[in-house]
Amino acid sequence: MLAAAMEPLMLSLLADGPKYGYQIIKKARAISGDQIQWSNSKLYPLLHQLEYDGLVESYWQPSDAGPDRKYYRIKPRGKKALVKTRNEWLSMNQIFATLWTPGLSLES
Amino acid sequence: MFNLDHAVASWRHQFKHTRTVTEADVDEMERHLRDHVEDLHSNGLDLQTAFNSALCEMGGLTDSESEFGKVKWSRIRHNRSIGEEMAAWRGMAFNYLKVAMRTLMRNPVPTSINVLGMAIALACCVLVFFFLTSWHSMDSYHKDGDRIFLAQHEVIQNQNLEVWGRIPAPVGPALERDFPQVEHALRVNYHGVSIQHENRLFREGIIFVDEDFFDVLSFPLRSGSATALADPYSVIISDKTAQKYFPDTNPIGQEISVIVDNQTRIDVTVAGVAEPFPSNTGFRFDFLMGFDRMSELNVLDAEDWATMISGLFVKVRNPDDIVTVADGMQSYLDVQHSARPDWPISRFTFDNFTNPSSDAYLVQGRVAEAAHPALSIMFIVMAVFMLSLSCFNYINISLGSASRRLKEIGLRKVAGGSRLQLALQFMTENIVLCVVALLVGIVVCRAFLVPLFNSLFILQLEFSIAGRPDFWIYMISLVLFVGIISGLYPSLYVASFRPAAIFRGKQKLADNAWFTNAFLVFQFVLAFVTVIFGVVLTMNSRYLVQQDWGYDPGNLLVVELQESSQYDVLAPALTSNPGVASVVGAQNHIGQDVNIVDYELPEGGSVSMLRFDVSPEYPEAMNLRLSRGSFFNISSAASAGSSTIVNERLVQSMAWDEPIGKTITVDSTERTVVGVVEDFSFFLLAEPLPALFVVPENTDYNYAVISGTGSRLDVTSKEIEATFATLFPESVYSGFSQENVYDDVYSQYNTVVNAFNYLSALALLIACMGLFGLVAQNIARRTKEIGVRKVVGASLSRIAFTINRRYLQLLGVAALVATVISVLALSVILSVVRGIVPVAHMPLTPLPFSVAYAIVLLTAGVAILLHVYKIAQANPAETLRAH
Repeated sequence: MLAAAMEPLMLSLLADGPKYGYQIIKKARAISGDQIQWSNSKLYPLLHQLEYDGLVESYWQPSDAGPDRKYYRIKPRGKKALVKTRNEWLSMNQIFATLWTPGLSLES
Repeated sequence: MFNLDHAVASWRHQFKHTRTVTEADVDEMERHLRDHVEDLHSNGLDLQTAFNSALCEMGGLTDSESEFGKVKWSRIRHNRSIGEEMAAWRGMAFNYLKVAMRTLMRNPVPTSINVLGMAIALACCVLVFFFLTSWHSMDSYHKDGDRIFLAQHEVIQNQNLEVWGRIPAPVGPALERDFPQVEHALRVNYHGVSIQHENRLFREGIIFVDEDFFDVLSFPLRSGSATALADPYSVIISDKTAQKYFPDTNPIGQEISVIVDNQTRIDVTVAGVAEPFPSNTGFRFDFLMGFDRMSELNVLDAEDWATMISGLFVKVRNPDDIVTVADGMQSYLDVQHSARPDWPISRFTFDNFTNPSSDAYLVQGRVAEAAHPALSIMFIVMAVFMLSLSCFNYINISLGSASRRLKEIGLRKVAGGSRLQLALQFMTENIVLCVVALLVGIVVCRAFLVPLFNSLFILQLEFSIAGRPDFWIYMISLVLFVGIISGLYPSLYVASFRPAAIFRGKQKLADNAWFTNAFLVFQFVLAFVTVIFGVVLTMNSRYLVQQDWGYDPGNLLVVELQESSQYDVLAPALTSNPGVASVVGAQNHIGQDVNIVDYELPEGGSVSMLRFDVSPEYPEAMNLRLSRGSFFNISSAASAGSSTIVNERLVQSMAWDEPIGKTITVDSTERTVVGVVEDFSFFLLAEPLPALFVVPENTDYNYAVISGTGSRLDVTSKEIEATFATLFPESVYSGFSQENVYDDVYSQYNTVVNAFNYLSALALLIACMGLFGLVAQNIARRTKEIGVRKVVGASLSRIAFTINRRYLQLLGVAALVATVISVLALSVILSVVRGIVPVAHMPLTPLPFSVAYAIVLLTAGVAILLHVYKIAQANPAETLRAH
């Protein structure tokens, strides 16, 4: 998994509402068809870094069963950053799409 | 049976000792783990398998630690909040502190030398702090101080601009009348009186003040009422006066008699007692009475523009108003000039009372004492001096003791200690030491220096550190400053050692470095210089006593007359006393007071000369030595009135070859020189001034000079006092033996000298402690060498010399440098001393220098010998075995 993609991916996952870590992993797995397999030793440091950078915020919430859960929620600054990176990725996507036209042979 | 909670607990346990994964992180991961297990379990896996599988996906401890660590350390390297930064350093700082304490405790000799030296220096700083704050906050405690001003006037006298604090009496009421900006114009006038209480009589000063005195100045009353100033038969006294007159009784309601000008006696009642004055009081009083009382007592006419009163406090409504008032009041100059053509005021000025200008001390006759900069400079120099001595001491000793700690330093470096960490460690040690020294210093200051200061100086210091945040701010910044300044070099130096060199035994030590030598020399230069100054001043005070005064004061007694009419009664009464040879009168008296006149030379220029108005018999009675001509012709008043006697200096200044018969015009009377006397000492000045004696027409004598016959002068003196008391029961007797006429000057001078001597003793002590410490280090380092030398049969003196040769050489260098500095700086120091007490100084000879060398070398010798004794006692077999 591209390291550079981690941050926009995470922000995108959080864009539609606050989630806790396990939820994020499950969702990432579901939408990627099991392609994205985060271990939580990678997940949580990333979340903490985003929080430290001021892009997301966290809060503890009691759950019906078991101990409290720590939820992460995207902050306005995170949304702004997401919009910016989304535009970059989209334009990058277009560039690659043009470069890698079906006629271009990469296997020689 | 698998228990999920147990399994989770043991999983949690592995994170217990990690530094990067926090408790909250683990909580979060645990919840994650549990969710995962639950999911897997609900999909049909049994609990144990689900747990293992979830754990597997989660990643192990090392993964977590390093990934969490990346985030954490990147944050630390970037911008941590101050709180986090502090938390991270707290642990380190505590560790530094702990190690610092241990090291200091383990090396008691250098530590105690450093603490003691630093403590003495810091004690001086504490003292200087109290002195400066009280000296430069003189009178600052008065409420609304920014609106209170002291009136002054400028006048040109003998082509010099003089500023005076006295003010024409009608100015006060005029200001209140003419300027709406003036809230109060408070007149104060000092007047000398005699005060009688029961059967005791004292010479005192009363200050007559306007009724609004307590509205302008903040002197709270301990008891009684401020309205007493309106009552003509009431007086308000200070706390000091209350203790002097009424030590055991309540002063309120007590009666005292005030005798004004030795004639008018009034009985007044004490109606108020002020609280003790704060130590920084420049304007103080003993007795206060209403201003209007003065005209009734014929002290002065307050309506007359020719009359000057002691001072005028002006309180304006707004601080800026004072400029308007000052400008406007120049219109009073005309009326003043016509009243006093001899004293034409050129300008009225104001100076803030609670925050005076820096040259307020130059204002003549200022009612409030103002800070003299010479004293401040002296004390600041002293503090800086002592501090630099101790700092150098510290640097020297810690460089020296670094040798003992080489292994520690090497190990710390090998174990990964950075240069910064090592430097911080040494720094912490130094600051801990300084803090301890400060505490000791405060105690030393409280116990010794403040009492010493108060016994030496009139200004009394109060030692109060409670509720003084400025004190603590000053002290803490001082400690940090000193700690950093003195610790910076040694810590950086030590931190730069290379461990490989240390363990190979090749690390070069500061021992031989030029800077240790330079520091020691510097210290001893300072010690030498202060000791030289101390010795010079001490010898000078002996010189002053032995100085020939130009006359023999041995058999002379002097009575200060309260008023001139007393002479005519006293003189005949005394001549009947068998112990009295003669009584002569004088308006001015040698050593007491004099007129200074500027004599205009016919060919231009002028000569300043001392003019003594005396009775014709005075010069001979004073045992002045005649070098030419004769004394006054006693038998003919006319002849005496038209002649004068001059001193040799006057003959020189006038460039007369043959003085007898020359004439000199004084007070528009031409007088012929009939005699020349040898130069005599007035006020112990360095250079004799031209002086002349004239016989005035009136006989309003202020002094009766009595020549005793026998050796029983003390008995005669008592008899004179008894005679005086019976003749003038209303007057306070004030008499002295001419031999004691300069006692005040001597004691003032000796105060300065003593202050200097204490300073030099302290400087010497600190320098010797430094030397002591260095020698100790040196000997400790060379134990093996000394042991070997002893074994092969070297004599003790030989060893002592070899070991200490370097220090002896350095002492020699220090002595040389100090001599040069002292010779150059002595004139500066002497002029400062002369600024405080103007007296003559002996010519500079090698003698004080030799004495100073002897003192310093002896003390330094003792410091070294203490160690030599230790060497002598040591058994070489023991010391060598230890190695």
